[in-house]
Amino acid sequence: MNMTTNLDSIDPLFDTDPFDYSPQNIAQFFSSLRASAEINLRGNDYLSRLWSKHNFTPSLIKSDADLANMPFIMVHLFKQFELKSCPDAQVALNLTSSGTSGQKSQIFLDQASLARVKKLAYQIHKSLGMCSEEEVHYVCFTYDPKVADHLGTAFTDELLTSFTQKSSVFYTIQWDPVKQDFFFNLKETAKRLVDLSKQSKPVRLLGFPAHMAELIKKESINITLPKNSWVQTGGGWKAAAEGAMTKFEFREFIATHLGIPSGNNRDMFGMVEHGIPYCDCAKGSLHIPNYARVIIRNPKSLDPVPDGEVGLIQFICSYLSSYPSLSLLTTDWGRIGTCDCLIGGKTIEILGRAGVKKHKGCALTASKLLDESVPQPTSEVSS
Amino acid sequence: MNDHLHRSLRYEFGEYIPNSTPLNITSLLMKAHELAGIQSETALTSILRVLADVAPLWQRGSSYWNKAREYASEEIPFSPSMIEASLDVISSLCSSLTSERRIRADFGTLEILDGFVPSRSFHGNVRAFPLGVILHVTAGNVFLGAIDSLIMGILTKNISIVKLSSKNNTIPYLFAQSLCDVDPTGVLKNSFSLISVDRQSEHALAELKNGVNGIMAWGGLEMIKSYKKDLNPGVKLLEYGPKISFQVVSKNAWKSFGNSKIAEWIARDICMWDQAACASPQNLFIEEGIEPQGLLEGIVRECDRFPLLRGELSPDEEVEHLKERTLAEYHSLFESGSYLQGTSSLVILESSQGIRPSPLGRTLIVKSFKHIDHLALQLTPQRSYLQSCGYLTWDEPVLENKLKDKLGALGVTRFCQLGRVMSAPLGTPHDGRLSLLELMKLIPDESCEALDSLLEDIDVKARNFPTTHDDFPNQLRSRSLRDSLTGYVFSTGGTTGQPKFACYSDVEFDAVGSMLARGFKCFGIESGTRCANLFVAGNLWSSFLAVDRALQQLSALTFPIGGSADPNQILEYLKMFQPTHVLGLPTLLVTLARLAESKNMSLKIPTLLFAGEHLSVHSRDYLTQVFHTKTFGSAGYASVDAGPIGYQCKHLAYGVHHLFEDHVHLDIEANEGVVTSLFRRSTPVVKYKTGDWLEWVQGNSSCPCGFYGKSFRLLGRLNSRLNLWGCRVFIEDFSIALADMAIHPTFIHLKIKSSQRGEDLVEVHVEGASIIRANVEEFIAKLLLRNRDLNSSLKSSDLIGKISLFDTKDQMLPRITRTGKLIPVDDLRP
Repeated sequence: MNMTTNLDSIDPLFDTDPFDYSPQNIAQFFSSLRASAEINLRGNDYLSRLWSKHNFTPSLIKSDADLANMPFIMVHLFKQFELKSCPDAQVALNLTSSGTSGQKSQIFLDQASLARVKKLAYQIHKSLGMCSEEEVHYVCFTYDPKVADHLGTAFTDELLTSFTQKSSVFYTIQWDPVKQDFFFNLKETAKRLVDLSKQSKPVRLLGFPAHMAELIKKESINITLPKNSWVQTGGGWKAAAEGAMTKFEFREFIATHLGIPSGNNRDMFGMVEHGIPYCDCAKGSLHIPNYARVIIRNPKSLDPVPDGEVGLIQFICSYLSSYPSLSLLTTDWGRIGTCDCLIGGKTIEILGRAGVKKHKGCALTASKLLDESVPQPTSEVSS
Repeated sequence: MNDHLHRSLRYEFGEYIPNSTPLNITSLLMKAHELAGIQSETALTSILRVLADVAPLWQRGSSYWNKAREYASEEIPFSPSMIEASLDVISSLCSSLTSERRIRADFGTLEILDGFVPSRSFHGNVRAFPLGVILHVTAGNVFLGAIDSLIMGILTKNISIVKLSSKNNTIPYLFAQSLCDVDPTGVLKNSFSLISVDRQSEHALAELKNGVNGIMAWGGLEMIKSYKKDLNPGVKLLEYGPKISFQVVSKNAWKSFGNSKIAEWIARDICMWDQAACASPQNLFIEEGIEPQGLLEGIVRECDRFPLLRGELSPDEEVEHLKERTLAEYHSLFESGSYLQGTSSLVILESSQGIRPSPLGRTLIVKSFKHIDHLALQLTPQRSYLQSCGYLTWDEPVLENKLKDKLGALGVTRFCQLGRVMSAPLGTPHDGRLSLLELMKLIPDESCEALDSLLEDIDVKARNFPTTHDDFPNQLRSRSLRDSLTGYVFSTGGTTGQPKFACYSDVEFDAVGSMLARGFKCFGIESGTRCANLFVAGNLWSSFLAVDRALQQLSALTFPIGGSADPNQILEYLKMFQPTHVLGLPTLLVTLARLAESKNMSLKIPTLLFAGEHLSVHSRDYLTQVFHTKTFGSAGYASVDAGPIGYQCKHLAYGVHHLFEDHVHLDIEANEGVVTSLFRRSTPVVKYKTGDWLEWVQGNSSCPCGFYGKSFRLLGRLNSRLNLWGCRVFIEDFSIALADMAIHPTFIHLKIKSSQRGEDLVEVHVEGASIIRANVEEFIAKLLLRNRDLNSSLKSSDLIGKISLFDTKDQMLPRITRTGKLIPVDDLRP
C-alpha cells in the first residue's frame, strides 16, 4: 500500500464505484483521505492545533482501525465559528445548513470540492439505479427559485434534478403577490399531479415527506403516475411530527395514492457539513459508500461501539479541500448494520437528533435561549 | 390503594378513578368550582392540622419515605443520596411551623385567611380570599415541585388540579395517599386532583387552562409559552421559569477567603439538585485580578467531594456536555480559555463576555468582570431570565450596594450569600413575588370601624382620651367584652403608679413582633442567630413575649431564659449556649456581669440589646470589659400601651431611634413624647403621654440602613430631670461628675430630702464603686462644671453640706420588685 501523500490523489476515488469495496478502492479511499487531511491541516489553524494536540498526522491514516484515533470536529463548532481551509477568494459556493435547532453552519466549497460533491452525488445515485437518460417531469416541494432566489434552493434543485433529462420543473411553494408571502399551493400541485398522471413521461417528486403526505391527505389524491416515476425524500418530518410515518408506512402510503412502487420511493440522509448522500436502496437501507466511513461512538467515553449498538455518528470523508469537516462528530444517534440487498457493505440507520430537546426544569437552557433570540431559518440550503 | 395502582388510576377530589374511564375536563372543572366555595370557608387551623399530621408520615425511614425512595430511584435521574435529601424536605414542608411561617411571611398574619382583620396600610379591614381553582403545571424532573405547589394551593384554600408529567408521578400519588390516611373528614383530600393530560390533546388542555382561575406553571420556556398562548384574560398565570442564575466573587473576597473556601461554597450551590433548579448558578463571574486556575481546581475538587453524588447523565445530556467540552477545547487551543473536567463536574473558563446557559449537570462557566457596570452589561441580554445572584464580597459596602442596586434594577430577583443559594429562608419572594399572596385576592372592607373613624369621633386636640383600661378587671366582668376579646392582656408596670392594663389582639401582637424584628435585624439577627431573651417573663408583662415573637418571626434560635431566672443559672446557660445576641434590662445585664466577674467566668457576648432603662456609659464600659461586647443597641423603644415606637440601627448615635411611622404618630409636646397608635384597636392609644423626654433629629431623613423618615432622640425619662436648688439638673449630671473623678459606679440612686429650712438635700448612693472617701468638694466642683444652670446660679460653697456621698452594697439600691428595674430617684420632698 502506498503511504505517501499525493495531494492530487483526492480525486481518483470519485471515479470508482461507490459501492465497490475492493481492496484497491479501499486503498484509494485512504489515499484520498490523507490528501484531504494534508490540505485541510495546512489551510485551517484550528484543525492543525487539534491534530497536533492529539499527536495525529495524516500519515497515521492507513486503515479503518486508525480512523478511531482520528480527531474529530463536533458539528456544533461549525455553527459557532467560520471554519474554512481555503482563502476567501477560492470559495466558489457558500452553503448554509438548515439550522433546525436555531443555529446554522456555514460551509465553504472551493471549485474542486464543489465539483467532487456533484460528482460523488451522481455516482451514488447512479449506482443505486436512480439516474436515467429519460425526460422527467419534476415536482419539487420547495420554494420557486424564480421568486425565492435568495433562499438558494437552486443548488439542491439543480443537483437533484440533474440525474435525468428535465422535461419540466414545478415548485409547490409559490409566491402570493397579494399577501406578499409564500404559500404551499395545494390546489395547483394537486392539479399538476393529476395532469401528470394523464401523460406518459415519468414524474419525480422531491422534498419533505410531510409536505407530500399533507397534499395527498388534504386534496384526497388517488392517482397512478407513469411508469418509472420516483419519490425522493429527505429532511425527515421535522415539525410535522404528529402525522409522522415510518419509512415503510410512507412507502405504502405513496404506493396507494400515487401508484409509485415502494422500490422507487427513496429517502436520503445528508448534511451540509458532510456532503455524502446516504440514499435508500430498494429495500430502504442507507448504504455507506466507499467515499466515506462511519464510526459510532459512546457519548460518554467516546469509544467506538460495536456494529449494531446505538451511539453518536461520526462521519469521515475526503472530498473536501476547502472545509475542515473531514472527520465530523454529529449530534445524531445512529447505528451500523447490514442489508441483504446486493449492494453490500455496511449500512447506517439514523435514529434521531441527540441532545436535550425538551428541558423539563425551570433552569434556562441554551437551545431555548437560541430559539428566542435567533430568527428561525426559512430555507433548507442557501448559497 | 395498592402502590402500583396509580399507574392505572388517577386521583380526583378524594376518589381514585381508573384511567380506563376517560378524563372529562368539563365535569372535573365543574366539580372543582363547586368545591372551591366550600374550601374557602375551611378554617386555616383545620388545614394546618391535617397537613401537620402528614409530616410524620414522611419522616426519613417511614413507610411512605421508603416507598418514595424506591420509586424515585427508578424514575428520577438524581443519585440515591440526592433523592433521600429531597424526600426529607416533604416532612418539613408539611409541618405547622413551616406552614405558619410561610403564611406570615406573605400576609403578616394567619387570621387574614379566615376573616377580615385590620389593615396595616389603610384604615379599614382586609381579608385574603382564594383565587378559586388553580391548575398546577409542574416540571417533570423535580418531584418536590409538584408537592410544594400543591401545598401552596392547600394553604391558600384553593382547589388544586395538579397536572403531572407522564413520568415521575409516583411520589405525588403517594403524597395524596398519605393525605387521605390522616384526613378522614375530607378537609384536604377533597381539595385537589392529580391528573395527566396527553400533551397532544390540545383541545383538552385549552379547556383546562381556560376553565381555572389561576395557573401555577413551573418549567421551561416551551411549556410557559404553550400556557400563555390563547389564555383567557381572566385566568391568572403565575409563571415560574425559565430562569438563569449566577455567582459573583469580588477580588477582595477572594483575597480574604482564599480559593479553598470559596470553591467549597461555589460547589455547594452548583451540586445541589445537579444544577436543575432555577436558582442553580450556571455562570460564575470573578472580578478581574482573581487568579482563576487555583479557584477552578478547587471547584472541581469540591464538586467531586460533595456528599450528594451527581445522578447519571442521560445519553442526551452526555451529548450536551460533550458539546460544551469540545467548545472549551476549541477555546483552549487558541488560549482564549481553559477547562477542567472532574469526575462529576466540568468547569470552563472563558474570555468571552456575557452570561450564557450551561448544559447543567454540574457544569459551571466562569467569566470575568472589570466593575459592576461591566458585569451588568454582560447580564443585560438575558435580563428577562435572570434569577438568583449568589455573591461574595468582603468589606466593600460600596461595591456590594452597587451590585445589588444595579443588578436588581436590571432584573435579578434574588441576592444571597455565595454557598447559600439553595437555602432560601422560608417566606422569601420567589421570582420577585410572594407566591401564596399571588394565589389569593386581598379584599378590603373600607366601611368598617377603623382608626380613622375613631379619630374623627374623638377630638384629640381637645382632650385626652383614656388610653388604657384603668378599670379593666371590672370591665372584664362584662360578658360581651369578655367574649369579644382575644390575644393578650398586659399590665403597664409600676414605675408610673398603679398598674393599668392594655389589651392586644393576636394581629396586633404580631405587628409588635414584626416591628421589633425590624430593629433586631439591623443588629444582625437573622435565621439561626443564637439569641438569649433575658427580659422578664410573667407578671402580665409584655417585653419577654414581644421579644420572643420578634425572634420567632426572624427564625432566630431563641434561648428563652428570662430575666427572673437565678443569675447563676442564667450565666450557666449563657456559657452553655454561647448566644451571639443577648437581650435584656441593663440592670440585669450588669448584675450578671458582676457575678461573672466574681466567679472569674469568661463569657463572650458580641451583641447586647437592651431596653426599659438607660444604660450608662460606665455600665457599657463595664459590660464591654466583662463580656467582650462589641455592639450595644436598643432592643426598641416601646411603651406597653402603644407598642413599639422606634427602633435603632447600627448607623444611629446612642439614644437615636427611627420612628415606626406606619404604626405610630408621634408628637413631641414640651419635650415629652406623645403617641397615637395607628394599629392598636383592642385598646386604642390616642395622644398618650409617654413620660419620656424626646427630641427630633434634624437633617437627612434617609439612613444607610434603608430607613426613610423621621428619627428622634430619647433623652431619658422626664422624671430624670430634677428641680434642685432652683436649677434644672439631670441624674446623668451626677454620674458624669463622678466619672470626671474617675469613679465609675454601675448604678446611681438619688435620695432627695428637704432640710428644715426647706433647702434641697441630695444623697448620692452608688453601687459598684466606692465614693465614701471621695472629696465632696471636688465632686461639687465637677457637678457645677457639668451643669450650666448650676454653674451660672451657684458657687461651690453654696452646695457644701447639701450633697453627701454614700456607698451601697451590691443589689442594695432600691429596685422595683417585679421587674428588677432600678428606681433612680427617691424624692422625699414634701
